[in-house]
Amino acid sequence: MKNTSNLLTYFNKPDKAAYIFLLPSLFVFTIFVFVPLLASLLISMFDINIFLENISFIGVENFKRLFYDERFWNALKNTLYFTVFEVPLQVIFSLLLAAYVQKNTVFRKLLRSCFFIPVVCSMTAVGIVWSILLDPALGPVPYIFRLLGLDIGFLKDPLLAMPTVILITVWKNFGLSMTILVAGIQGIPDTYYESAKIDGASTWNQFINITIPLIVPTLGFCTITNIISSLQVFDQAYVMTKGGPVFKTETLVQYIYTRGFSVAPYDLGYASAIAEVLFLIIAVVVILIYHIFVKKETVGV
Amino acid sequence: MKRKTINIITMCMVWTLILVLAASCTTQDSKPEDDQEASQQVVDQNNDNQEDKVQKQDKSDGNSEKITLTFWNGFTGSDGEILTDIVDRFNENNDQNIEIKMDIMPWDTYFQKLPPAIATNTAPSFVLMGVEFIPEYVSSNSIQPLDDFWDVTGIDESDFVKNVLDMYKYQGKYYMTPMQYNLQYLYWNKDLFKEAGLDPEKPPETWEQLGEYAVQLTDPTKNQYGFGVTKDDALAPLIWGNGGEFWDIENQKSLLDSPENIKTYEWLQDLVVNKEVSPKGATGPDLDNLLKSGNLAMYISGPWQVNGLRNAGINFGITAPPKGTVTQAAPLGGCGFAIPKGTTDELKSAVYEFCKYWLSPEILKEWTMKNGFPPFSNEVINDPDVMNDEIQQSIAPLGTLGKSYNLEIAIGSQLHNDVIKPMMDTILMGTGKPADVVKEASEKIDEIFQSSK
Repeated sequence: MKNTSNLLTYFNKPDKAAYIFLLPSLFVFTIFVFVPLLASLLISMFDINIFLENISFIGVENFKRLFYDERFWNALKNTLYFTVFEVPLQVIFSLLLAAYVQKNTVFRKLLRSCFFIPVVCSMTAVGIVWSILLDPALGPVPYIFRLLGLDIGFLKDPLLAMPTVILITVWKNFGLSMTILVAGIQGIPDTYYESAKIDGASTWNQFINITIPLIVPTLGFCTITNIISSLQVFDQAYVMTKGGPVFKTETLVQYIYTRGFSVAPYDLGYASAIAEVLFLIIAVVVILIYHIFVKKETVGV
Repeated sequence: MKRKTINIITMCMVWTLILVLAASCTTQDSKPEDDQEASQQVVDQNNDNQEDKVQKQDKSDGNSEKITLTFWNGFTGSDGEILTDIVDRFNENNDQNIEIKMDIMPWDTYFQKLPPAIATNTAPSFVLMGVEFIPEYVSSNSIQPLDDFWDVTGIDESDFVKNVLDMYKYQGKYYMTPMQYNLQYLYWNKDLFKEAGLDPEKPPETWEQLGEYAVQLTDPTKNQYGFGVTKDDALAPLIWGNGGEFWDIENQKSLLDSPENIKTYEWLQDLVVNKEVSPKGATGPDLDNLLKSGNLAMYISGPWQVNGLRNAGINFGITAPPKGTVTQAAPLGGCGFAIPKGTTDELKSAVYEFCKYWLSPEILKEWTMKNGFPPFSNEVINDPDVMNDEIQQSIAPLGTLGKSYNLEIAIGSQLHNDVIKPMMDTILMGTGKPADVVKEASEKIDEIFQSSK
């Protein structure tokens, strides 16, 4: 009874009570992230298929195989291509829109709601709808372009397929980044803007010299989360193009899925090795970006 | 309210939230499934697939035992409706109190779920799939041999076409019971032929002729295409017709890199890329839709198009694929019923009852007449209704053209998915010279044969 009372007293302090509140998250994280991560690392060292037949330990052979696999390098290249273009496009577009809609007028509040609608839609449904809209044979968008004298293949054109996937992803997800940035911008005290106005700063100057520096942590958060989700891109490429044409939109996660679950010999070991490499890439990139944004403290104006 | 009380209430609310989220356990961007409605069917009925069940319950007469079978297949099209109707009638009319609970799902989903289900002993009682998967599933010890089917059911093998029955064997043993068989055929849109000034009753007889017709039938202003080609299809009738081959199964080597094949692929690339007779980057489903919408004049496909074309009101004809410079052939295919390794003997007997029901002349005739699949039962072949059916009159004599593309190879689907499809994709998109692409593909085939030894 005394021990229980001591325990309760101990955890009643705010800084100690935080550990209890963290426990559920840590529990879920352990079961659904940490354990599968370890299991995946283990599986990557075995020759194992989806039928769980003829399992044998092969060490790092699956990782060695990656170096000679052209399709792996192609998928990596496509994933980086997607990330390098999608993230800046989404963040910049979201930032510009956030700067516009952050004022609390009825119209701009309505705009914020409208822009958020694609975020709550399933990527699968969005992908299916856009692939129908952009179908060269049956879709209305290519038809309209043909009336203007332009024959554009969109998702069927090897050069345009990935840019099209990127634009559709930005369309679907920019609402979330915009909402986060609106919150960041609305947190900036008005005094900064009033002082700048008195000093004769234009709207653009205020945006560049006040707004952006003061929301660097928020921008960093949006960038990091977008990079993580971009490096794991799967749904849109799978639904809209199945990795084609000629593997121009096949991403790493899609290749993992193809190798492990979709196509014989359903090589789970090799698929896990690719997954481990992807994990390492994401970890390195995120640590780098985190240091860049965290070390840049918000500077008073 | 005291701080302590607030803390306790807050913690209770947090834990409640965690438990509710864990119970619902869905994410916005979960892995896609092609057909949301079909996946909902799978979720709704999936509780019944956890283990083979024999439900022993007394009916009102107090004597019979109900046997519940679970059955998976990927017949999501109009043929699935006919299959569902046949299964429902079996459930109602069989005198052994067998009930089949069928799950229909997209093939993508089916082939993701089935191997792990077999591995974890949670597979359905029996499944329906293509015969090309027999070697793969036998090599992984996933399906049971069914040699005793004929003795147990009392059905005479000689009542059926031998070549068709041989498709369901692997290394001399039966691993499936027959369900349907098919070749690939040439479909042509008679109305489009007429509009282009061609005789609607005379489809092209040679591949050269098909190429000429395709150009005449292509009209970009109307979004109309002369001949549909997709990377998903190896276009075996074209390769074989011109004297080419894909591989030598016996000696486990590639035959793809040959002068005949290169010439054929160059002709095909010119037709698709330069003359634009086929929509760029089209998939199989894209071409199926184009055919049913009346915008595709000619297409090589299986009998599964028949029902959809009838429903769409398309005035179509069906015949053998054209002849090449050397011969005429079409890939042989089919579907059969297989029994996963975890199915008990008791349930296997019940599955045999359904398979016996399927092989009755009445059901096979119904499947042929409604779906357009050629019959393989001698009694049904000679049935007057079948002999007088317009579709069967066109395709019944074509049985001798059948040839195996990748049946009887354990790595057959790997060769098709990892080599032939990417090769076709590159050729049809015009992003590589056929000679180079074919050489690279041929080397890959040899690598796969080598690694499978």
